[in-house]
Amino acid sequence: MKSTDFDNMSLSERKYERLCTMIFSCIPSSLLMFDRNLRVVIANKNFLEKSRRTEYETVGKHVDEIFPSVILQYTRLSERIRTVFETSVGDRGREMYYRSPGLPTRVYYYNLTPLIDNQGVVESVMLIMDDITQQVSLREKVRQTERHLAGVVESANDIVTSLDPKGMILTWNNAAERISGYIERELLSKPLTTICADTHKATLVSIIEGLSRGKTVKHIELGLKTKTGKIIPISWSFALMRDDAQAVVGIVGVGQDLAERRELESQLFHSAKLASLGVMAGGIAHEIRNPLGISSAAAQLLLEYPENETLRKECAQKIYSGIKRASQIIEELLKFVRPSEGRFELTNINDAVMETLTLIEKQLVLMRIEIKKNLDRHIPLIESEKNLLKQAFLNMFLNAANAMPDGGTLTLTTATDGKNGVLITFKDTGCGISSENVDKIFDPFFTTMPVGKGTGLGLSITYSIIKHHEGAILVESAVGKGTSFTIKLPIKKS
Amino acid sequence: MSEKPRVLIVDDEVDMCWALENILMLEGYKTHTATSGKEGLELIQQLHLNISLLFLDVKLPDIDGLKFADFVRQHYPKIKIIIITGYYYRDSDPVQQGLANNLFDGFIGKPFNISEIRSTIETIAPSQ
Ligand SMILES: Nc1ncnc2c1ncn2[C@@H]1O[C@H](COP(=O)(O)OP(=O)(O)O)[C@@H](O)[C@H]1O
Ligand SMILES: [Mg+2]
Repeated sequence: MKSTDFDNMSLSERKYERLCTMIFSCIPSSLLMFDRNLRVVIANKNFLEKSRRTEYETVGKHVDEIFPSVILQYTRLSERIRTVFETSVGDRGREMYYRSPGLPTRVYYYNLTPLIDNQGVVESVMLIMDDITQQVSLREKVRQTERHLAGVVESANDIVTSLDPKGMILTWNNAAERISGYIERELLSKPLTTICADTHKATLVSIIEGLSRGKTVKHIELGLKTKTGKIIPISWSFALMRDDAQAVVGIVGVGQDLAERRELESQLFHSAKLASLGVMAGGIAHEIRNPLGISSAAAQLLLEYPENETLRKECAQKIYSGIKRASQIIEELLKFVRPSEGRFELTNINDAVMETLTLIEKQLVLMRIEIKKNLDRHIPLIESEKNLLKQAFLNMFLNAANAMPDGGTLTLTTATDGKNGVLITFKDTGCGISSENVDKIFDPFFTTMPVGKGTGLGLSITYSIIKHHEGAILVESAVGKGTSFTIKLPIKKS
Repeated sequence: MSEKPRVLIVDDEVDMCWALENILMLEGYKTHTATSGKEGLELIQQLHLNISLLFLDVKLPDIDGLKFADFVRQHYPKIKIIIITGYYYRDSDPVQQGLANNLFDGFIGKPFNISEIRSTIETIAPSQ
């Protein structure tokens, strides 16, 4: 402002002007005032700071000199200012991306406001710019999070559904559609009980009543009736959605397809079984080829010397026993690879241990591993899936053998544990497990064996088999002395 | 007519010893059998001058058959060794390396043909 102008002003005008300047410099917005020639009359402090200009570089300059041409082009700012001068109508609510040299892009929200003089003529136009960079980036983040959440819900393997407080379905994700056979549209605003097995409808109704009173529910198994009428076991967990005032506004239900999980589990058990078979393959070849070799030699002797009476008898005998032995080994193998039937039967764990041992005993003897048996002859029968248990035991044998490459002693002990459980202990005199590894041995794929030899799955499968039987597995080990694994199994499944 | 060589059979399977013994006996060989490494070594120490052929299983309960073969090679180099096992394939590494490095003289996989036994003996210990 030039001093001559200042002198011509009356006192109140001067006061008013000072007030304006003060306000201009205080407000957190950037502000520019343009005259009819689109030249800057006033630029406030905020604008100068943000644009890194001096007042001298700004005041009196044309709008085209103030903003970079890209911005001028896409905002058509000069044209808009001109329109405000002509129409006396402000232009509000637009976004502008502005980047001053050497600074990151900022987003502004800008307004054009006409300042009208006593004659109703637009004297100048004020450009107010608010820096909304932060709000915009927050808005972007919220959108991203929303998209992300939606993606998670849609790609989840489990049913995810939201219900209103009365239990009416609001959303129904992909997994829910796949498992139930109903698409979202068919179920919108219908009660969740629509897809519930008849026998569980009453339970579900009371669960939803409880939920509306604030009671959450976890892991409850309910039958889901699919569109084709099939019943699938689902493990449901329900949680409440509340608003800021803590009022219940909805219910979220997450349901896991137990049939699917059980199927996966049994597949895993099965493939691990095959993996341990692979480990034993060498030993098995030997086991079967020996009786085959004997039978075959005897048969050839018989052919070559048919008239030798005593030899003939002996040969027939050897052929017979050789074949019997080979088929016994095959029988054991078949029993072992038979998929789990998912049936618990009364099992004598001594038998389970001994049957497993027959699969691998020869190999252990060849490795000069002595086997000591301390089996409790009065051990109570337990409820188990015997095949799975045998698989767990086989892993114990294989691991013990691997820990004793130069031979040693493996002690097998079975005992009653008070009243309600049995204990099976595999104690070896092998290399032991270092304290840093002991926490990792049950992790899938953890192995200290050379590549191609160990799978690192043995103990993790054993662990899940024992868990499947509601039992526990404990390990005690001393490096250089040996390791003892104790499996504890309940007599009755709960 | 020169005497057929004396043969020692070491296999932990009694019935396998029986089969090999009969095959070789009926061919006119004199045979001895042992079902463990220890027993086999004792027999060699007693009779070594007379034994010229050893049929050896590689998986023995008390000693690794290949180590056994190595020992015999060192101390009784005149004895020819034929490995006879169901554990390895003919083209597996231990067998190929063993043959290449002269750790043993022949290999027979179980189950075998009697003719294989005859021809293997014939190649490594031809009858005079
Ligand atoms: N009886 C044992 N003695 C010493 N180490 C053991 C024994 N059992 C398991 N381990 C350790 O636990 C690791 C994991 O075992 P496991 O899950 O059966 O996989 P893998 O046998 O294929 O390595 C083994 O590599 C070994 O280091
Ligand atoms: Mg293992």
